[in-house]
Formats: sequence, C-alpha cells, structure tokens
Amino acid sequence: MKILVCFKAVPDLDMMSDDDWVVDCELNVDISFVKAILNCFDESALEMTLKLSESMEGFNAPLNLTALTIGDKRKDSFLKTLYALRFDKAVRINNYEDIRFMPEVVAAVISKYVREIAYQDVIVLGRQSGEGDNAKTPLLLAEILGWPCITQVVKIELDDSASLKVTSMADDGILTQTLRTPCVLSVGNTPNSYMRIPTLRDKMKYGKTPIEVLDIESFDINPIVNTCKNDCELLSLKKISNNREGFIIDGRTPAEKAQILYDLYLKERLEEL
Amino acid sequence: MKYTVILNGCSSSFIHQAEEIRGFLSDNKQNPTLGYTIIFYNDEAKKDELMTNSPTTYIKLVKVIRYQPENFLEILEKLENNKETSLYIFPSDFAGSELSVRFAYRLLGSSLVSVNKIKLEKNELICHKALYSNNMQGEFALRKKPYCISIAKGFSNKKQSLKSTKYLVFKVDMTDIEKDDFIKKYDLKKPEKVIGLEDSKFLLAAGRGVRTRAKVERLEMIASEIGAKLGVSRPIAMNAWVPMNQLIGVSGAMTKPDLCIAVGVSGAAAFFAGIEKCKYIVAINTDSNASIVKSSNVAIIDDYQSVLEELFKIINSSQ
Ligand SMILES: Cc1cc2nc3c(=O)[nH]c(=O)nc-3n(C[C@H](O)[C@H](O)[C@H](O)COP(=O)(O)OP(=O)(O)OC[C@H]3O[C@@H](n4cnc5c(N)ncnc54)[C@H](O)[C@@H]3O)c2cc1C
Repeated sequence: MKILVCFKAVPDLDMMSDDDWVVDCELNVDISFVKAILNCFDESALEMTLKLSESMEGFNAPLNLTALTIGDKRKDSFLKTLYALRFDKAVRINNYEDIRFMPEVVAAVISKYVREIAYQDVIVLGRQSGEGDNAKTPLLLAEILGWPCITQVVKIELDDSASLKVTSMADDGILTQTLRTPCVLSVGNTPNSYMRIPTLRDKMKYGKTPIEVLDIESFDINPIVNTCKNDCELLSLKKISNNREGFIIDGRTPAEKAQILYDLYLKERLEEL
Repeated sequence: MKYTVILNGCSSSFIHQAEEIRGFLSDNKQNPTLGYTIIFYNDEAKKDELMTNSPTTYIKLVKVIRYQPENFLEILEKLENNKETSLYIFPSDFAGSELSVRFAYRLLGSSLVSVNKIKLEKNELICHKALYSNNMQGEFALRKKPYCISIAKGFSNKKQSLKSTKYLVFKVDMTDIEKDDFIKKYDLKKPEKVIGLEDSKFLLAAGRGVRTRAKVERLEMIASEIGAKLGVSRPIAMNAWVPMNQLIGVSGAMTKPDLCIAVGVSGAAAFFAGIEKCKYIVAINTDSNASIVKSSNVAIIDDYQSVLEELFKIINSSQ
C-alpha cells in the first residue's frame, strides 16, 4: 500500500511576543525570526503513519511511505529527518509564492502529484495549519480526486492489503470504520502523537538520501492562483488583543499571595457561584 | 437574497447547532434576506423537536440513514442545484466545517471555515475569521456564489427566543442514496465521559507548567473538592494525561465560566480563545512575561503548586 503524508513546516507562533505582530502593506507578518516547527496536526499525521508502518513489521504487506511538503529549501531538514525515520521517499515542491490563504493551490498540486507523478492509495495530512488556518486542504484534495475523506482521524491500522481500519472523532462519539482505499485521511487532535526522534545511526545511514525536488511552476498553478486571489481575497489583517487588567499580587510567600488572592478577589466570587 | 442553513438532525448536538446558528444570525442580520433551513434527520419521533428549534421559519426536512458526509453531499447537490441560494451557513462542528468546504467545491462556489462575522454585499460576502492560530483577525471577500461558510465556535451562549411559526416547505426521503460503499464496517461509540466544560461556571485550567501526570491527577482532585471542572491546554491533552474532551481552546472547548484559575498555562492565543468569554481570570505562572498574565484580571507570579495548595487550604477551611 502506498501512503503519502503531506506536511507543512510552520513558524512557532508561540514564540511571538505582542510587539512582533506587525502587518506590512502586502498583509504579511514578518515571522522570519521565529523557528520553524512541524504543524502540530501534520506532526501527528507523520507519527501515526510511522506507527502504522511499525505495526506491520514482519507482515508480508509492505507499506511504501512518501512524505511531501511544499516550500523552500529551508524545509529540507524536516525531510532529512523523515528519511532517517525510514520514509521511503521525501519530496519537496519548491515554492516561494505566498500561498498562505490558497488551500485550493495546495490541494491542486498534491492531487497532480498523485495523479501524474506517483499514484498513492492513501493520503494522510493534518486538518489545519498556520498561518492561514484555512482547514480546507484535505477536504479539497478529496473532492478533486473524487475520493472519500475521513476527518479528525486519530488512529490508522491495517485491515488487509487494500483496506484500513480508521478511528476518528465524530460529533457524536468515536467512529471506527474499515475502509477500502483510496481515501484521504485528515488528522485531528491525537494524544501521544509527538513525532519520534531518529537514532543517530539512522540519521547517518539514511538522512542523506537525496530529496526529490520538483518545481511548483511545473504544476501549472497560475490559473488557480489567479482564481483564488479573486474568489477569496484577504482584505485586512489585525492583531487580536486579549489584554485585561493583569494586576499582579504582591506578597512574600506563596501562602501570603494565596491569602490576598482569596480575600480580595475570590471570596465573593466563589460565594456567588 | 436567499440564505440556507444546513443542520445535522441525526446528531445529539442538534439543539446546540441550532442555538449557535441563531446566535450567529442575530449578530449578523442581513437585509433583506429570506432564510431556509435544511434539516437532515433519521428519527421520525424527533421531527417536532427539530422543527421547533429551527433557526428559520422555512424548513426542508430530509430523511437519511445516518450522518455520512458523502451521502449528505450527494443529496445537497441534488436538492440545491437551482442556484437560488447565495449563502449557505453550516454550524461550527466537525460535520459543519467538512460539509461547507466540500459542498462549495461541488457547486463551484467559494468557502471559508470558522467565520465569526459576515456582511452580505451585492457581489461579495465580507467575512471575518481568526488566523495565525488565533493571534490575528482576517477580513476576506468571497466573490464566487454560492458562498458556503461554517461559523466559528462560541455563538451558542447567545440565547435567542424561538420563532413560533414554522413552515415546512417539503419533506423528502433520501435514505436510498448510497455513496458510502467504500465503508466495509462502521461502528460509532458514544464518548465514555461527558465533561461539559462549556457549561461550567468555575474552571481550573492546567498547562504544561504542571509537569507530571501525578500532578494533573492532584489538580483533578482539587478541582472536584472546590467545585471546579478541570480543563487543560494542548500539551497536557497530547500526553493523554486527561481525555481529549478536556482540552480548552480553538481545537477544544470554548468555555464561558464566571471564574477561571489558569495554572502553568502560557496563554497562547489558540488556548486563550477557549476562555476569552470568561468573566474573571486568575493566572498563576512563574513567568511574569507569559501572555496569560496580561490576559488575566489578576495574577500571581510564583510556582503554581505552592500557591494552589495554600489556596485549597484556605477555601477548604472557609467552607
Ligand atoms: C492550529 C493550532 C491549534 C491549537 N489549538 C489549541 C487549543 O485548542 N488549545 C491549546 O491549549 N493549545 C492549542 N494550540 C497550541 C498553542 O499554540 C500552545 O502551544 C499551547 O496552548 C501551549 O500550552 P501551555 O500554555 O500549556 O504550554 P507552554 O506554552 O509551554 O506554557 C507553560 C507555562 O507554564 C509556566 N510554568 C512552568 N512551570 C511553572 C510552575 N511551576 N508554576 C507556574 N507556572 C509554570 C511557564 O512559565 C509557561 O508560561 C494550538 C496550536 C495550533 C498551531
């Protein structure tokens, strides 16, 4: 079974302080100084796939894992790590365009990759990613390919060579389905899915496997970019302020601070509850 | 202009969906517009309740077997191919956000997820939504009809009175639509424990600063003793130290308690959105620069454990 995991490296927005949120006239925020991390839902998607692959060791049904990202050369370090974690192939579609708010473009590129370059049975990707927070890519991808899409996936297991057992969160509970491939799996909040770290030995042995680099130009995205710009145009971008009084209680010991907190700020409120 | 609300009446969250749509519509009155609601349902006995709670006067009832996105989409495509509706509004739940995007694709329209404000113009729909993990608010113009949006979480607390008159436009049975033959086995289990953070008056929120599972368990105990519910930030939920339905924030519960004590939480925007509607926030954090300090009403800069244990003693002795 061929599985493609698509991921995005995003700026670690938790590192931004209030003053860092400066919007320029192109409606861009300078995030170049914060470190890039794996988008949290994509990280879960990658780890989930690695767990699936691990669970099949010894079985006679090989999984073939490809990781794909759209971005510039700085993203290569993530792809090298994925090689070290034993992904069979790591692909980067080179891009410098601003596609923050164009999930349609991302979905079109991935679908072309799958249709024209390397057919896959399953595509796994995170449900949403910053900066755009569009939460649309997996859904659009399923529509373009005409495949079903399972959202809020938390676990993937193998059923047989052409079907998977997929657990997902639904509005009414926990859903477990056995599905025929092909399908798109959109990953949601998943406990215990921080991505593992490769061993030094695997880093040395596999981390240098060449990354397949394709150019986004070859995916003929200009018409879609133009439609996106018109169909869903970003007009303005403003910082959301969450500030309140933020009064800091002074005191010598934790006990003294707790007493002041209780006497002056909590007693009445607790009584009213 | 005509708008249509799409609700999933097969779900136990139907009342909540209807409530949040009513809240959204009352905050975003558009003139002049005529609203319809399509309600999918699978239980004849619930029909009256569904109709009564409909956010619009005009209702279309569609009978199905269960919630299945591929089937819902096929049905919507069949029912709504007349181009009469400019705007489709979906609730904020998983079903609402997935259907809005896929339906827009099929009708060649445009879509946006988690919208918190709209203005319908002649040739565009102006939409506002949170971006950059809730740090920024973006304003968009959607220009391809039909506009399909799912609303942001958090509109359900705006209770609206129900319109008394309801008019059933039509009722159809679509249980024969079967676009789900890719499913070999299907099993839906209800969640084991319903926490109800959304309706809690008093919250204790724990973050990564609470370092171990044992310490989270201690907080769970303190919370129940002082009459609070325990909610957590993403790192704690990711460690599976509590069930995922105790997660607070954009990807979890959007709460509106009277009082929240946040311990060892930095106050990242994606978390804070979940307690933003709280009346009074107390932060206990070792770092005076943590954003939760500025976002709180009152804060203590210290180790959470020492302060909270003292506070627990005081509250206990005063009861
Ligand atoms: C798309 C997206 C969606 C997200 N959705 C959510 C969501 O719904 N909910 C959510 O919570 N997060 C969400 N996040 C993650 C969010 O951005 C933050 O990473 C997360 O909220 C941080 O959790 P934290 O505050 O517990 O941890 P940290 O940011 O690590 O903060 C820990 C805090 O504890 C303090 N501390 C440490 N030791 C002590 C001590 N002994 N006593 C007191 N204080 C101490 C530290 O000073 C620090 O401020 C989302 C992120 C993305 C990208």
